[in-house]
Amino acid sequence: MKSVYLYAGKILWVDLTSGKVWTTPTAAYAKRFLGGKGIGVRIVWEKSGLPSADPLGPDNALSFDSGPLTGTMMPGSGRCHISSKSPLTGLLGVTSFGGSFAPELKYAGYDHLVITGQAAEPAYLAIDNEEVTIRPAANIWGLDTYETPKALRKELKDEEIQWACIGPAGEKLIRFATIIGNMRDSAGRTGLGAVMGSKKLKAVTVHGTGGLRVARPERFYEVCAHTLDALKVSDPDKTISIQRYRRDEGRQKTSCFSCPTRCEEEYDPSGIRDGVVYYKWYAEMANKIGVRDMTMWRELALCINKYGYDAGSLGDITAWATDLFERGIIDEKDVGFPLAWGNSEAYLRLAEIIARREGFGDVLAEGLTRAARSIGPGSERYAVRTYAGNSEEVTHGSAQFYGHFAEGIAGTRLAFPMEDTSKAKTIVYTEDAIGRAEIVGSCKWHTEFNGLPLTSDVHAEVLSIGLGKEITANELSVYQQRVHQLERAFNCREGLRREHDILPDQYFTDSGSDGRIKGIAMDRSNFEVMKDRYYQLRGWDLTTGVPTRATLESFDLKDVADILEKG
Amino acid sequence: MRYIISIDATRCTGCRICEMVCSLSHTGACWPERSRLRVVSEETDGRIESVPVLCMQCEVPACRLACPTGATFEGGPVGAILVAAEKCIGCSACVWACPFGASELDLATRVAHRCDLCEGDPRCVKYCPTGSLRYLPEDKLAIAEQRRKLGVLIDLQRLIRG
Repeated sequence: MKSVYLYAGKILWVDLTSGKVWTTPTAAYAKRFLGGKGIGVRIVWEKSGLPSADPLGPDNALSFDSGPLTGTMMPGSGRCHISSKSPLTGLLGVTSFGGSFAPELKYAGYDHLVITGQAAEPAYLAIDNEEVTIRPAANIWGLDTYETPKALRKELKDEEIQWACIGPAGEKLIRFATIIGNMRDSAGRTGLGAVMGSKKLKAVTVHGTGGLRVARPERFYEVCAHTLDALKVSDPDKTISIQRYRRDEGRQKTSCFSCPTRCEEEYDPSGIRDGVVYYKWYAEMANKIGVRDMTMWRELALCINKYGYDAGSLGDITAWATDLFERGIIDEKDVGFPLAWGNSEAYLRLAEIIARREGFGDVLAEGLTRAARSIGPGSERYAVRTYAGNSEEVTHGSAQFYGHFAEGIAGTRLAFPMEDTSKAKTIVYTEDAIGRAEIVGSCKWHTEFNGLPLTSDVHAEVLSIGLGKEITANELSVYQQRVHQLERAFNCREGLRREHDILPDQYFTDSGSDGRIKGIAMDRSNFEVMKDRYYQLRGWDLTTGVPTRATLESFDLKDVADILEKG
Repeated sequence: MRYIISIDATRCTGCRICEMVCSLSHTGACWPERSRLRVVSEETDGRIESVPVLCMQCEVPACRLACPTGATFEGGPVGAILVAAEKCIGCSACVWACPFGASELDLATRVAHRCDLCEGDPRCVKYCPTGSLRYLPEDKLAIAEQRRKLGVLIDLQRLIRG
C-alpha cells in the first residue's frame, strides 16, 4: 500500500437501508477540504444535496469526522466532528465531542464514517478494524446513555471499545437530542442525536489496533512536546474558566485524548450517583432557569446526560416555558404542573415528559421555533432565538456573531464582549481560528481566539512535518476559508438570505424579556452596517448575503457556484 | 541509584499523552497499540477511572524467569528489564508471567517489548500533565508514597473540621 502520513487513508461508508458497507480513499476529498469538519461538510453537501430534504429522512447523511492531526501526539487531537443537516434548524448542523472515539476510528483505519439511509429495525454499528457489522439493537433500544455502553461491552465481550450513542431523547427524535461519546462528552448543538435516532442507529462502537505514520517522527515529537509545554504555562485564570469552576466545585479528573487541559469534570456529591459533567452545562442550563442548588443542578445534569439532551437548548426551552408560565400565556392545565424559576423538581419532570414526548413535553420536543408556532400568538415574542432556531442569552457583545453565523446555529462559538464597527473583523478572526482547528483535527479551545498558543503557524508547522510536505499558514487559511464558504453555500442552498441573518427582537428593544438589558439595546441600522462589513470581508453579496461567484471561484469552488446559481 | 517510574492512579486523567509520547519515540508512529505503557480506563455509571500500566522494574522479574530463551535480561544504561529481539521467539511467556500486564507482544515486530526507561529520561514522565507518572530514585519511592498518604489524611481532617 502506498504510504499515507497522518491520515488513516479511507472513508468508511455505511448505508443502513441496503446494509451495504464500503470504503473510498480519503485523498479524493482531502485535496480540497483537508479533513475533519471540512470533509464532513463536503460529504453532507453532496449526499444530503436535495434542498428541503427532511433531516430526519433517509436522504440525510451523518458524517463522523476526524482530521489529519486527530489521534496523534498533537495536544487536543481527540475531537470527533459530526456533520449532517440539522433537524432543529433545517440548515447545516456541525457539532463535536471529545474523548477517544475519533482517534480509535483512525486506528481502525478510517478518517471518516458516513452513515446514510435508514435501518428497518433498531441497529448498532460495530467496527473492529476491517470488520464492520450492522447488528440488531433490539435489546439496547430504550436504554439510557449510561446503560447503553455497558450493554454494548457485554454483548461484544470487548472492554476496549470506544463508543458513541444516543439516549432516549435521540430515539424519540427530540430535535435537540445529542450524540454522546465515550468520555461522556456530548456533541450538543443542532440536534444530530435525532438524525441518528431517525436512522434507527442506537450506537457505533470502534476498536482499532493500527497506528498513524508520521513523515518526520523526531521533528514531529519535538514540535508536539513544545506545544504541550506552551499549553502548560498558560495561566488558567486568564484563559479557560472551567479550571476555576473545577477548583471551586469539583474533582480534577478526566481528559480527552492527548490533551493536558482536562476540562471534563467528574463529581460524586452525596445523595446522587456519580457522573461526569462539563462546566458549560452549568452556564447553558442552570443559569437560564435559576437553579442555584448545586446538588439539584447535578441531579438535573445527570438527567440531561442520561437522556441525551443538548443542555443549551433544553435550558433555553425550559426557561422560555417558565417565562410564558409567569406571563400567563400557558398555565398548569397546559403543562400539567406549575413552573417557577429555580424549581428543579419541575425542571426534572419537564425533562422527563419531553424525553417521553408526553403532553406538553411533546410540544417542547420540537424545539423553540416549532413549539412557539404550536403554542401560538404572543409566545414567539419571548423566544430568544435566531432564524436558525437556536436561542441565546441576550449578550450585547455576541449579538452580531449569532446573527449571521455560518452554520446558522448559535452557541458553539464565542465572540469578544465588545461591540463596535470593527466587530466584523473580530468575528472573522475568531471564526477562522476555530474553523482551522476543526479541519486539522485539534481542539478549538487551544487556539489563539481563546488566548492559547495553537496559532495558524503552529498548525501549519505540525501538519507540514507530519505529512512530509510543506503547508504554509496561508495555504491552511485557504483550506479553512474554502470550508467556511461551503458552509454558507450549504445554508444559502437551503434558502438562507441576508434577511434571515437576524437577531431576536429583544436584542433591539430596551426592555428585553425582563428589563435586564435596559439601556443597552442594539441599534437596528448599526446592526445592518455590521452585516455589510462582515459580508464584505467574506466576499458575500451585500443584497442577498450569498457568496458571490467570484468569491467561490477564488476558493476553487466553481462546482458550488454552479449549483447555487441553478437554485 | 536505580530510578523507577512510580504511578499515582488517583492523578491519571486518562489523556493517553504517555501512549502517544512512547509510541512516537519508539516506533516513529502515533500507535497506542505499540506503546510500552498503556492507559486502561473503565467506566461505571458515568464515572471514569484510568490507570497507566507499565513495567514496575521488579527485583525478581517474573518475565525474566519465565523467558525460555534468555531473551529477557536486565541491562542497558539504567538497568531496565529489556528484550534481546534476536533471542525472542514471540512465545508470550513473559506476557502471561507479568503480574501487572506490563509485558506485551509488539504485533508489528512479533517480539516482546516493555518499558526501557528511555535510557534514564522517561518521556512519558516528562509530559504527564498531572504528575501521575513520576521518576523517582528507589530509596525515595516509599517515602514519596507515605507523604502522599499523609496529604490525603490532612485533607480529610480539614474536611471533617470544616
